[in-house]
Amino acid sequence: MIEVKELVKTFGDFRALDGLDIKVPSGAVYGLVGPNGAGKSTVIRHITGILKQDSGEVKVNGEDVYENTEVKAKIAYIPDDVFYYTQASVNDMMKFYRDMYPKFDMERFKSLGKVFGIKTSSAIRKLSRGMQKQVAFWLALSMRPETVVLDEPVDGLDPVMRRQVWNVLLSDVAENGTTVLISSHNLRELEDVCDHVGIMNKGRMMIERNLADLQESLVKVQLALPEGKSVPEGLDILHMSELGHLKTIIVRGSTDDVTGKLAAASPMFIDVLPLTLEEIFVYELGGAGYEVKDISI
Amino acid sequence: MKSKTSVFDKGIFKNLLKRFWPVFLVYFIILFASLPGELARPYNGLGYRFSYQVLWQATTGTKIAIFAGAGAAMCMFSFMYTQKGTGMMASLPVRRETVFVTSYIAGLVPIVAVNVIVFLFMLVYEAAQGAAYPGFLFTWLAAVTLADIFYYSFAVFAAQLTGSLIVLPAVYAILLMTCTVVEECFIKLFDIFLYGYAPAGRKLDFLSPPAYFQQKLTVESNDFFYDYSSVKPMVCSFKGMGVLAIYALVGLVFAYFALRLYKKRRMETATDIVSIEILKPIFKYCLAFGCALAASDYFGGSFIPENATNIEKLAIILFVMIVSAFIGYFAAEMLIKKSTRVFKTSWKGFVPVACVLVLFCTLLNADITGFEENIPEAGEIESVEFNYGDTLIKDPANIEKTLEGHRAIVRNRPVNTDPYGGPGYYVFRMTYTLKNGKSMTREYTLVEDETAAANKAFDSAINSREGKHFRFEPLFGITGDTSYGCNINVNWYDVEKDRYESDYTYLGGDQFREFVYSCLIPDLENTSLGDAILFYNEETGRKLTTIGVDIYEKNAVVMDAASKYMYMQVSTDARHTLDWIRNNTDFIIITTAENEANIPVQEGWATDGNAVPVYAEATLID
Repeated sequence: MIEVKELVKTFGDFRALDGLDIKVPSGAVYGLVGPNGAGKSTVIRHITGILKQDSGEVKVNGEDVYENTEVKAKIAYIPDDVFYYTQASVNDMMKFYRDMYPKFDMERFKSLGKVFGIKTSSAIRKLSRGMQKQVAFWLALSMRPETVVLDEPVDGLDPVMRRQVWNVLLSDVAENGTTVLISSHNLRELEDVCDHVGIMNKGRMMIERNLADLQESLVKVQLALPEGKSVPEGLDILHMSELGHLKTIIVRGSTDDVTGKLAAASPMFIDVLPLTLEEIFVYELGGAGYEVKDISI
Repeated sequence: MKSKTSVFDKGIFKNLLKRFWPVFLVYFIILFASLPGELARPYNGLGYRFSYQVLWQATTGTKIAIFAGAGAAMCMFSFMYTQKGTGMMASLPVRRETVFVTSYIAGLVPIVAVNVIVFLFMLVYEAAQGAAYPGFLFTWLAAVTLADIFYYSFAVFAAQLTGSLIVLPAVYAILLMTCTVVEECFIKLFDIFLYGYAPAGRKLDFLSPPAYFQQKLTVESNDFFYDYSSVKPMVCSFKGMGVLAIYALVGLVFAYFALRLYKKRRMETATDIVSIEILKPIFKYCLAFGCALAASDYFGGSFIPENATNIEKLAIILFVMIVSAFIGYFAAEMLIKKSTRVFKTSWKGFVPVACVLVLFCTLLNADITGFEENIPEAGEIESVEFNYGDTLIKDPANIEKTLEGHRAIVRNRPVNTDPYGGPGYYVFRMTYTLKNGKSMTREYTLVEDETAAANKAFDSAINSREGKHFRFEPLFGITGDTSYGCNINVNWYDVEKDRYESDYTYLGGDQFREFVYSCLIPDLENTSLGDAILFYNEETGRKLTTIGVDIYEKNAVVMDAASKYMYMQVSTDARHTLDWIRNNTDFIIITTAENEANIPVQEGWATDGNAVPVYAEATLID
């Protein structure tokens, strides 16, 4: 389990994290999403023990992370821009991590080598960005971590390799109860793998929920109302658009509750549509002042 | 499972060595060239090479250590200077203490290993040559290693102060030499503003190790009779090992502070010029004042005319300093904020800098401490030493003459004059030793002027009987038991050939004593022989002959005490001396343009004044 409580971090005059709370249950695949500059990478760097908070707590499995070698030995971290030593080969980095992480599994390293198909003697700096990312996954999964923290993990990977990586990762979750925290802008992909989502903005958590509950808590409705009729009061509408008589509204609430209230307006047509995670992200943040702006150029 | 308390990580250690071994290979090559490479040259015998030269190369090795230390620190702690590098290292399951200690050791061990390898190679090489002297090699190893420990540890400390790898060597170099440079700048400022200020050498060099080591680390030899072609080692010793040991310990203290800083280091400071928040304003103001001082030293002296008034000097210096401080201050601000748009937000911070500079220079120029007018009372003075011939006087009458001159020169301080543009000048320096144990030094540029009261008074003091006795004390102290011979080296200006000529001869036994007792001493006492001549120019030189007298003492063991050299100006009234030389040697001495004396030079006489071979002969005579 990953727990972050009232985390505050400033860089000079800039307050990057402003009392952030995150709770990632054990064995969950948690998607951390937010606009650019929300503080996702900063909180991840706290969870992996790189940065020290100004105040608040950062714990993994009940223990503080910072300067805790036992906790960090069980965390594998893949940043968005992976660092390798200049001139290092895959083998060199494998040996380095094998010395660092007590649970490093050579058998797993060899079997994953067949998946990724990269020679261990290859100089990493000569590999493409995508292949360097594959090496990062290869090494991280070989560490047999209890917690995996990924920052923009599948950027640069081709669709086949993405699917391969997710398969391996999710099988680890299923078999070993590995906790996974993923930060990504690729919400379509997160929707397929995550069971928990946290949406953050300006250093704070806006919404943190089980994905199913989140999808249940917002409703997208298309309806056509009779002349003179308007949308009833009492609905928490996040977004509304019109195309002729057809209105599309995004409403906070359960499906039954929302459709029940809309029925009072005797709509000529009403249909409930599924919401994607991307739409949830856009409309929730739109309510927080990060809406898509209509710009005429 | 790794020990919780372990401060050494094998994985990091191996990784660092594997990545940076070429750097240590370069160090090995340089060190190899400096010792075995240098000693392989057959310019002297094996004994000299494997003793004196080994020790001399130890001093060279301590200079190489400056760069070895910086290079090793830059490599071992290079991970601190990129966001990716710090991220990777900080996310590892290793304590910061462990990362630091392991990296520190990984830089020091190869340096010491290289030193040991070169040492062992030299041992084998010397043994193969049949002239192994391990003692000198151990001294070399100890000196170079101690210097390496200090410089490397200091570089590691400097590495903690910045987040930029490019800035690290600059921080290292500046911290190493700051005190010496700043002191030099202040000395220059005092010299510009304070009339009579006498630069007396730096006192803070011990805070700038490269400058301090340059003074303290040396090789001494008393082996006056050494045969340079011999296999036997020269009797010599390395001076300054204690200094190196102390600095090595100081280096370890710096390493400890570096560890403390690293443990608290904020990893997000990678790429920042200054990585410690509290040091940012210090950096800004230090750069501002540093630029001001450096500019005053470099430009101030060049732009000030010799005949400038005090106000003109003040204006020029202030202008140079304020402009330079401005550049330094805003350059620092730009580096800290990583932006060129800093003027609007930061200009207020520069105001105190400018005020401090104006206040400092104005007060210095106004001499609020009364330095210029401070002349001791006669009753306070124990003795006075002059820079001419290091003449020392204690007689109250001579001290009073000196004070007359001092008061005259302060009273008649030149204004709007260029002392170097006149007929002649002399930079005159005197040091009062006071009865309370303190000393006071003043330096003035005397301008040639026969009527100047100061010139007359100083001339009278220096050329008093006491003054001449002091300058030529070895002559007055000669007895048959202590001295037995001398070299006379005569230098004169040959009008016909239009050049200076010189020649020498050796006098021993009765001839020596006759020359000293019958000629030199009476002429010194009664004529202007040996007088100090303060204003010496080409014209004066053409009228003067000088005699160098090098007296050899019996039973001298140390080279420096084997002879005492004095030289004196010969004037036309030194009749006994001139007559004796004329009658007993073949020197041509032309004391005036009218060729008062003219004796042909004997052919075949050497003009090289090196007395050592003559001294070797002298042992046979006695």
